[in-house]
Amino acid sequence: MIEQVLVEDFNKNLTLISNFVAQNSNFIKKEILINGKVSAYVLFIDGLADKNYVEEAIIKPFLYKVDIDITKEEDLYEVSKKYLFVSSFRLNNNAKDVGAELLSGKTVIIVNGIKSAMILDTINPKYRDIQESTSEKSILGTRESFTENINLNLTLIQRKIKSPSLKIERFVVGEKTRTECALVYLEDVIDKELLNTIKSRVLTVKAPAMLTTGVFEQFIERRPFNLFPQAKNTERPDKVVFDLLEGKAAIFIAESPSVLVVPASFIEFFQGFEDYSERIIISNFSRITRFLAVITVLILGPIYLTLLLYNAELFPYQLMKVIIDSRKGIPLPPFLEILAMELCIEILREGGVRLPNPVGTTLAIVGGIVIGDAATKANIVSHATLFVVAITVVSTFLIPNYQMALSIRFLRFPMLILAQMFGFYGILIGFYILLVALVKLDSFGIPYFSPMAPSRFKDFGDVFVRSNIRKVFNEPVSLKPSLSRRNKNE
Amino acid sequence: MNKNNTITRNQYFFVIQSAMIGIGVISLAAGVTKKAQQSGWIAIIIAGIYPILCVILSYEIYKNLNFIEYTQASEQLFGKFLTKIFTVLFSINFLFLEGAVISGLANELTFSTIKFLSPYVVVFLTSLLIYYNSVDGLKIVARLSELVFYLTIFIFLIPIYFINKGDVTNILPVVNNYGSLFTAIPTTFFAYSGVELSIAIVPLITNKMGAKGAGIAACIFTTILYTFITLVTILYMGWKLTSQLQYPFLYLVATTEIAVISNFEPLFIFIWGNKIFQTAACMHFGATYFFSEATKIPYKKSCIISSIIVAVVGIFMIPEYKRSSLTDKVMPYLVGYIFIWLIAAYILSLYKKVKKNEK
Repeated sequence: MIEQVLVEDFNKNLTLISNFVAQNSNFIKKEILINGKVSAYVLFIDGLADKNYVEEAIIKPFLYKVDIDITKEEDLYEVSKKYLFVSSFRLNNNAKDVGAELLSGKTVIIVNGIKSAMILDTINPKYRDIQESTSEKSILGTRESFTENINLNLTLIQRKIKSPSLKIERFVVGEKTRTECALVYLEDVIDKELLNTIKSRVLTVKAPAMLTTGVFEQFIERRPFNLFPQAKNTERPDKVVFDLLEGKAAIFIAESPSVLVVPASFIEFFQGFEDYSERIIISNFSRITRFLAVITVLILGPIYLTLLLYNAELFPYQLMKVIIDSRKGIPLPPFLEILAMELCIEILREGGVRLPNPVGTTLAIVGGIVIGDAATKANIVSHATLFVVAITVVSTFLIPNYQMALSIRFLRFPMLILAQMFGFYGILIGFYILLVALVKLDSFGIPYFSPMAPSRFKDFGDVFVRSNIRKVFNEPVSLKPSLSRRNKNE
Repeated sequence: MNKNNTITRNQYFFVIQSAMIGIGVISLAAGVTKKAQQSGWIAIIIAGIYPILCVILSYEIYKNLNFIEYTQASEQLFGKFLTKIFTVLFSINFLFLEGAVISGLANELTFSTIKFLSPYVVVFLTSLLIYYNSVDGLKIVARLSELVFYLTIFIFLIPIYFINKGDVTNILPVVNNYGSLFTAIPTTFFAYSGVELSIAIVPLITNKMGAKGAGIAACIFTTILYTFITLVTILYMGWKLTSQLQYPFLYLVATTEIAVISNFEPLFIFIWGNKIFQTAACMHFGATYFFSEATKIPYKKSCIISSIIVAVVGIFMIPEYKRSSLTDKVMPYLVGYIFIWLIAAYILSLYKKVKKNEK
């Protein structure tokens, strides 16, 4: 095992610390002589630390201003107080920890004759500026979205919640990446039992690397093979603030522009942030439209298939005539016709996601209009089928959360297969399996279908429709497992 | 107490109404109008006393015994040997009821919307589905009951559409023959069956205060729904046509033409189908619970065995005439058994309580 405790010899200390830092060209080891007598090393990684700031605020004062002899740890405090232009520093005598600090952009000073290293905060703040979210646009909400800088992201939250109960617990995940993470919650709002559950999973994550919130989510969820997201990813600080005020916790991962909110419930993935800014009736209309869109995505295609294949008698006569006319000369059976169109749309969508914006738009036009038109003119698909598939695809765009939209979109295919095999009964069992699967799921001990199942009538003010904003801002009972337990034992 | 088998007071309401409302929605009107003609709906109200008595007696029995679980309570009241027999009988009761519900669904679906599919396939798939639903215990069954309850409200809404279209002379005179009202009551037993689940689940309620009220509310809700549907069916079609049909309410919903889907039938079957799955799941929990208690086989394993038995029972009840004749014959005995058990258990529990208080 590599020795980790620092000693008095600063050359030995440099070797010890170097064991934990990659020996690349940007690892700067600047030897200096303090007050003309004491030797020391200034260590930092150029790029991660701000080189100009290190030179101006640390090296210059050490070389030209420090006029005391540094022989013990207390002298370092004296130097910090009198000469250095840094707001905070700390001492550490563990070489591994010091190495980790260097890798996170801090500057380390090791002085000959002192057993501890001086760690100064010099992280290079150069990151992408705060920009508007591209995946979660809002009309009335804030234009800010998170960046890759975890400190800036936390500041965005602190700026919005000026409460002493806002807690930020920092931790590191990833044996190789040593990614800085933070768990954020409102201490006086979050349920203690829920917080313990979250902490027990979040703070114990062991992973070789941690790159994004999506990866982190998979490390902390209980059912990785379940189709539905068990935590909510968002790029928007206002959404996180709203969730924190409800009694949830947020997980920030360094270098990731999105934040993970836990726990998550099924219903909230369909609630847009604008719902709370708009007039009650208008926002409820939008919300109901969204739920109808989900039902459309799931069952419109299968119902159309069933009616064509097995239950033509259920079409009113006039409609039947139109459909028969549109299907004349179509060689493909309805199932393959719908499946082919659905797959075609998926291919176009997947292609569009990876392409730059202008090219993506071109792809959408070529795909949506040209291919669609060509397919109907070539008698490969009927106009009616194209219409049904197009409505289904447009409906998927109404789901505000990207991950949930992907899950719902995927479900079209098993539903379609069930409808082909068992007709109306297939749709029925598909829908029921979905309900059972959702009801069985939980997110950090909170039932996924809450507040509907189990019913928490107090929270019904913000489910399929939202009531008065005063009621919406009440802390949801469904996020308080300890409170529910107390009520049960009455 | 197994954590997966505990429910809240509200969930008790949802489970009880869920266990009852099922096949009866579409077929009950036929049975009661055969005996009581246009007064059939009154017979349903009178028969509504049965489920209410069931939930009250179940609650009182367990209250007298400090809400100990079923097997323990039964052993205290009847001894080990009789408990074994009673538990097996309860399990048979639920297996039979669930089999009848599943085969009822299969018969109805293959009669109306999925004529191309074999009813045996429907029975098999439904049994699998019910297994998936109930394998994790009462908690999941109860949560799903809550969700599906909101769909039940739509079952209420469909007949509202027909109120205006009916002819009031179809339900007049309100009572023709008082005797026929009572002869129609046994035909409602199957529609109200499932309420016996309260015998198993009352001790599993975590907040007992108000649980009796929740059970009674579930029974009243069910009675109102059945009465309303039957009344509207008679109002719209008259008792003669109603009594001749196998599924009068289904016939009713299929009579109106609406855009795109032609009539209410597919919409109704979609809602009602979910409801039937839930009814079967509640009964499956009851069957598995008693089976597990009787055989001491763990719940999850019992769930597999009872699913297989239910599938076999369901297959035996195809086609519909077999199912209805069998349920007509068996139901009075099952109801009789349950009623006797409840009354005997109540008297014994009361005796025990008094004796304990004297000590």
